[in-house]
Amino acid sequence: MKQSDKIEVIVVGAGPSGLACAYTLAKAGVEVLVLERGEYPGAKNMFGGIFFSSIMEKFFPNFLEDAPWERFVGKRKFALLTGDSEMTFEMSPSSFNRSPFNHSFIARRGQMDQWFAKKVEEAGGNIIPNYCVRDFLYEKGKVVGITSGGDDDSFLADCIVCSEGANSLLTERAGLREKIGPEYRSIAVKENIRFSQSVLEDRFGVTGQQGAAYEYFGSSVKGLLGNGFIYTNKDSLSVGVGFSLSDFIKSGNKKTPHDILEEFKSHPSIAPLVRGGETVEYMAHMIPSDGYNRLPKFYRDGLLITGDAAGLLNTSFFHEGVNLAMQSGILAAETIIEARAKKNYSSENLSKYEEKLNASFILQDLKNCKNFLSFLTTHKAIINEYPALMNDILVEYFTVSEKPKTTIKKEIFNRIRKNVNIPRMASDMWGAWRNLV
Amino acid sequence: MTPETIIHAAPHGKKKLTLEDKLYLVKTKKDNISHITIEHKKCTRCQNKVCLRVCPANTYEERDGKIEAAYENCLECGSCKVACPEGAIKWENPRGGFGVTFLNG
Repeated sequence: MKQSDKIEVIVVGAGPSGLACAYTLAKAGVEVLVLERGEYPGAKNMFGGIFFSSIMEKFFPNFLEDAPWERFVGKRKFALLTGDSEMTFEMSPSSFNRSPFNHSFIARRGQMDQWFAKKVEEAGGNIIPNYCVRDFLYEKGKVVGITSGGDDDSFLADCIVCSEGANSLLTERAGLREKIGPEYRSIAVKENIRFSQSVLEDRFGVTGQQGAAYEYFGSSVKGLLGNGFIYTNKDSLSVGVGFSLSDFIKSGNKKTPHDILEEFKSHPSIAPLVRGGETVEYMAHMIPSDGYNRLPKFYRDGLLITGDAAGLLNTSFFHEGVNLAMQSGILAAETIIEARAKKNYSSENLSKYEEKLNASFILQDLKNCKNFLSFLTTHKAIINEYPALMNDILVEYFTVSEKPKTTIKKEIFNRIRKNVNIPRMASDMWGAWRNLV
Repeated sequence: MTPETIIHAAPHGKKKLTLEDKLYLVKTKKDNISHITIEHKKCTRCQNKVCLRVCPANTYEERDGKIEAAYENCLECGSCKVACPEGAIKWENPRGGFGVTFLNG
């Protein structure tokens, strides 16, 4: 290995957290090299579709004019699906429809990550694509470099940041976490379905740069712990489903993720929204669902981990990932800048990273939703039974007949009394309020 | 309270794409070596063979009692490795520059 191959900081992975870290370092005059296994930054990445931009906007105040987003999220819909019915809450507040658009933009990762990568390069960072890191190099227990597996194909660095994403192969290999089992991950599959812009805008009732984000809960994914979604790009839809891997396995479901996506798409409420479009791409990705109580270790001598690799994703309804990832990258960079001043990248110095994560919204939000998945796992009635019951009650209430309304109300009341364990439901609802919101 | 029927509506006027059709749409640079290896010995203990249904690309197939991976179809989500109860699937990232390139991720 040539001595010239030593760099101050190597970042593994050019996703939002790796690039945020590299950008912060480059701006501070630190020599940084980002290694990306895809043919360009974002090539291997997939997310649902909403880019939460508040942190990016601090980097780039002209984000709105300059960044390659598709549409702003002016319209949000939260729907409960039962077998063949839908109940919906929809909102389009004026504040979401004017700058800064609630910092929520529908985007495609390939475009957004490449744009961000260019900014990193302009700031002085280097990015090498098509480079897959296989393992870390160690010296007396300290991480001192990376290798792609080839004999003379490695780089040495003072400090390494692992932003490898949800697969977390290196993180596992470095002993920072136990083997990832299905309880730690969800899976998402999505399609990009193309339409003419006018059809899309008419169908979703959006105009100009306005976009819509529809999320489908209840039994939208065959009663599994997860949900379906539709996001409007400029002239295409991101349509997908995501669900817990452990729940999928436990359910003994004979369906594949692709089957579940197809059934979601053919639900009577979804089919009219996606019909006639041309599917141009089909993708899959894992989502961390480690949750606050099962997070990996964030550092060791010479190494920090950020973003999805560190399980830093809000597993609740909010589905925020990109902004947590970026903030973790920034905090890792700040930790490195402080360690650099002391010329010491020992785990003791790098432990400041965990303190910073704890003090930030990242771990506070993860703590707030720490019981979200476990609560839903043990209270499946919230996903399957209650939405269906609510649907039945509303249908009965609004069904036109010659029955007097007082009789209908009595019947509904009797039905509730017969079908529902009221104390259990009350306790479930209280639990939902405490653990889910 | 159980749902009775689900209406399977085919997209109007368009042929419904199969999984194979969709995999064909994915931009992939195929490597000549597999990034997936299977320890077949471990598979013999396995009861539910979750790899056969967890993969969104239907990469795994059982042939003559042996699990095989059509690695060139892999979408690189990694779910198979995570889901395999026996730890029989060794899933690595494809070599740099190989594998899928998502255009609309």
